[in-house]
Amino acid sequence: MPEFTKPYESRWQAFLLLLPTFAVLIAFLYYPGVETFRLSLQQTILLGTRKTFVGLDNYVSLFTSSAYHWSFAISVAFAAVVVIGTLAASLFVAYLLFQVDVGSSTYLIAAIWPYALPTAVAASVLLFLLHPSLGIITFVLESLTGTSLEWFTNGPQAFAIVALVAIWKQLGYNIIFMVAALNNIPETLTESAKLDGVGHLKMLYRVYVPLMSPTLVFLVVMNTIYAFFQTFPLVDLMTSGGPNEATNLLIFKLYRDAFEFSNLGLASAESVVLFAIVAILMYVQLRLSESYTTYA
Amino acid sequence: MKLTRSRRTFIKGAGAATIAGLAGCSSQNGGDGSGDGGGDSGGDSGGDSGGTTAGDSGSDSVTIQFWHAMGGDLAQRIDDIVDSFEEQSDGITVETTSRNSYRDNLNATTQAVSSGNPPALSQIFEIGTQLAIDSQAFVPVEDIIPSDRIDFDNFLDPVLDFYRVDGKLNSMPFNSSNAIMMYNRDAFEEAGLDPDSPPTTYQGITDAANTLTSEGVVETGMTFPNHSWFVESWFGHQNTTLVNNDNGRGGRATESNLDSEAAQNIFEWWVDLYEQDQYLNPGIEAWGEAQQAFLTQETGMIIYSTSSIAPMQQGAADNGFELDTAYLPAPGGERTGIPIGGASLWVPRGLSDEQQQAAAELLLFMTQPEQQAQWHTGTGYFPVREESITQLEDEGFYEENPAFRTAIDQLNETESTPATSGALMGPFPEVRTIIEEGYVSMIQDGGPSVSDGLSEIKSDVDEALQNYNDRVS
Repeated sequence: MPEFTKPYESRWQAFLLLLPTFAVLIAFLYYPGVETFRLSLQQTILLGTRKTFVGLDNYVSLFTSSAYHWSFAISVAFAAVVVIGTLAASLFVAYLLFQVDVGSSTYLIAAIWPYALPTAVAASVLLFLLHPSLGIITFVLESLTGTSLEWFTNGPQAFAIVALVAIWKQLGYNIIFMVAALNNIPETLTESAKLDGVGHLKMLYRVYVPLMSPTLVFLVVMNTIYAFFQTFPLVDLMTSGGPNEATNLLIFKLYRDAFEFSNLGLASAESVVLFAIVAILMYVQLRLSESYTTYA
Repeated sequence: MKLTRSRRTFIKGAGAATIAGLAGCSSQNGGDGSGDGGGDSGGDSGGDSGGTTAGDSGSDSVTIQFWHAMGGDLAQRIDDIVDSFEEQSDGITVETTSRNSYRDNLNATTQAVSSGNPPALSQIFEIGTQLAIDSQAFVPVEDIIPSDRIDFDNFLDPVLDFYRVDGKLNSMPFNSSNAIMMYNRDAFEEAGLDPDSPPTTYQGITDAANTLTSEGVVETGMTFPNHSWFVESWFGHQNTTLVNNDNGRGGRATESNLDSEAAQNIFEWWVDLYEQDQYLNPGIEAWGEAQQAFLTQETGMIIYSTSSIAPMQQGAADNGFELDTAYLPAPGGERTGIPIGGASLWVPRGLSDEQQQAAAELLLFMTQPEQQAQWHTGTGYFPVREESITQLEDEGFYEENPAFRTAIDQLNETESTPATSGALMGPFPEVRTIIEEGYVSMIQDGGPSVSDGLSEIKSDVDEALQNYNDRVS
């Protein structure tokens, strides 16, 4: 047991050291959180120039609204696709990067590149590249496959496109962590497994994945948060929630209700509900994964 | 040893990721909450100006804020107008702030009003008119401009009509425009169509589109952004109001006319044009994409806004073809007129008397015929003054620029009826989205028929109206 020295001298010093952090948290997280909850009990015009207290009315109208049910369902589906898709694709790429001997840093930079691009910029650029009638990529895809890409009018296609872009955008982030985790696995283990004649694929999912499991759990959680909250610019710029509500994710719907349809009260209620959903998901994920994860 | 290392690496990694996550969150908040930031910065400068006014009591120097939503070249033009205003006024300083989008500016302004530091002038889009009135955050401009210094008889009625509610002018029209058609003269000639008599009706458009494509001149006949504004214009041409109670001007709108025969005519043609592969669908409110399709000569015709005549002409010249303008095609022979779009300038409550007077001075200056003539010729937005047009006619401007002539003629031929004055309703932004998404659902494979689609749109719009009315009552 190594000697443990306290980084502070007295309780007061500890308190002072924590103060800036808590000041920021209170000002930018807890206070707005409480305000949001208070607003969710009110009906508003614009951003609240006129307010009336209505109790739980906003929540009632959410839970009885079929549009909201739909938005909830596709958000969950979207998160599932993005989380699984991102993990699978990045694991594959990370494994290749781990195994390659020549020019590995060049490959690594190339793989991480999408993450360096701001989401809004990526969305604007891809909107033009993938535009159903004007896009270059669309043109090439259509002439190669003979199919027609109609994601401005076709709901499932729009959903798939936004999900693909969301996955692509998140690859870099996942790959960084996975490559780091893979590099942490002791060489001896790899060598002994090789001597036992374990193949490439089996090596990945029988030896490496269990050893990487803490990182993977962490990435599942981060990707879930990403899928629910940070994909907003993609939807906003590429589909505006359409066509036919096919990509109207909860985060986009609440933004639109608040700032475009000037119904801040209702949007605040949506915000509270979204927070609750993600908090519960987080808890479930961590609980479930506890039994599969080895912190060794 | 091994254990400590891997755990430490893991914790380090988690820390890094949390930071990255936070960065992601905060950047996103930055995007969403631009209104908040705006409110704050406005508040600060508002406070400063208040201080100046108090400190210099006795002298008449005053600083006012002017918030608008224009970007690029248009923002520069506003600054030019403001500069020349400052030169000729004694002691009024105007600080302009561009918020880039109408919605952000509306949100920022109402927030600034709530926090007590509003700008003296704010530019609000036409569909925010009822919302702005209901917010009770603004003073009608007619109340703050001394009546002996303004004569509304010299103003263009079709432009004023939109912003006149219950006989009172709530806001000063600033940048007003109409829907207009533009076409590629070279493509028309190549296809054997007469470039001097462009189609004027729905049927004419469909025929011309088919000729253009069958002659192999363009890929698709026509494009325009999927924008409810055009639908509203076609309601105007058929003299049908979009919503009841005289388009929301006789009383609060409670029901829409989106299942009317007028709506049927519009959507049947628009869906049919798409099904014949003659309508290139650029996307919802996709002005940029539509412009791109037209300028790259993917289509031979486009429906657009008069506010972009100048840049579009330039774009056509850059791409090596000649552009001409034509009236917005009408569903049939009937052509009652079309409502304007664009934005107007509002004066918030809660200003000091000096600031309010300064705002009135700026409004009077901006609506002078000379300023308006410059604004009009530089952008394509309509002037608000009749004298500006007479003046430009005398100078021979319209003979040199026939494209602008079309826009002015179309405006002058508009009969003043509730249908052509444009609709007033609180949830207008939401209604536009419903109409635009409704069209998308009609052109989907296996989507509803036009009449089923319209009854869905109607019930959604009526529900939005009812929700809104419940909130304000």
